[in-house]
Amino acid sequence: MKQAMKTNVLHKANRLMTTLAGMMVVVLATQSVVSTVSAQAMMTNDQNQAAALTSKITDEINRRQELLNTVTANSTATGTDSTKTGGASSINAGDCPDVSQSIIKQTNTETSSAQSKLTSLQDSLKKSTDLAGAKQQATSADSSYEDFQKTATKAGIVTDLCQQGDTKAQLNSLIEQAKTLASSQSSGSNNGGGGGSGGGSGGDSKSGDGDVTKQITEEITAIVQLVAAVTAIGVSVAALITALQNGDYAAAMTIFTTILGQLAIASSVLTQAISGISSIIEQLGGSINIQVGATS
Amino acid sequence: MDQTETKSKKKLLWVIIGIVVVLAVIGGATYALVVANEQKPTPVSDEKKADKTPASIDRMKADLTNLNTTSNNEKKALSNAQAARDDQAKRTKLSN
Repeated sequence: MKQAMKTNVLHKANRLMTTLAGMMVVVLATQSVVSTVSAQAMMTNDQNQAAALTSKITDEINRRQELLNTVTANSTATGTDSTKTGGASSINAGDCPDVSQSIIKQTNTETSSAQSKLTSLQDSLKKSTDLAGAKQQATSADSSYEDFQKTATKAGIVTDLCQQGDTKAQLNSLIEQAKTLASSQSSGSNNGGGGGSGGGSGGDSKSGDGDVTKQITEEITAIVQLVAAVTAIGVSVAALITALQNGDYAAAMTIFTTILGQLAIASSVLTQAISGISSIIEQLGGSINIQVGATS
Repeated sequence: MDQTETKSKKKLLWVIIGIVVVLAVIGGATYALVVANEQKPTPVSDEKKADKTPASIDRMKADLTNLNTTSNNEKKALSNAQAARDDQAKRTKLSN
């Protein structure tokens, strides 16, 4: 009886052990599947995140390259050279007599360096395949932003300064032409008056021509003064850029804001002067169909 | 009969003489006006000016057009520089 009971207990224990072992096998097998599926899901999620981040970084790099190209490559007549390889163009020192050579050289070096950094960031991004790599590139892109913005703003300012120099030179040439024409018309009308029959109406006409010439001369003098004021602003802008210390981002942005304010004043003064010279040409030679300040 | 004929011939003669005189007066006045217009000094002076200036004025107009283009490019450059300064707002922050 005792023996039978012992055997029964052993059987029960055996069955229990077998059940437990079976359960363990089932649990282990399920766990392995769950782990595999979970790992795969995590990997897919990481890949999706990496792809999304990589796309965002690519967009940001493209945006920066575009901005750099826009601020430097303006027009062939402005002294910017867009033939240079690598995207952003450089500023021709020879075509910007109002801006100091060292500022142009420094700006070109900085622009070229910013362009190289963007290209290298693009290359690194192509090589990185996982999320960790993409995150590293994102950090790198963020940390290089302030330098990039400073370079782009400075390049934009120098390009505009060159453009203002161009505008001033052309304006000065027109002023000289207007002066010559006004004085030749004045002497022509004086000679014509002397050769006339000397009637009363002839005398009035002569004094009328003299008044117009005098008025034109006064207008030219005012325009010359305006252009001289723009030159002074240009010099102070150049001095401010020279004073800019590298590294202090906040200070740089404050200085740039001041400079851009001055350039905006100079720009509107030049527009005013162009409008004045346009009116003088009208007085000298009849109607013209040019709207100053209108974009074509 | 002869007397009446002679009288009417005389009348006709006077009428013809009158017409000739009126025509002469009108013709003379017209001629005088034409000559006076031709001798006016102002148009001559305008023609002189017009002959003297077109080349230089045309050159100045062409230069003014170029200047306008340059000035527009300058405004574009200024606006690009301002955009670069204000770029912070457009920037995408990538790392958290």
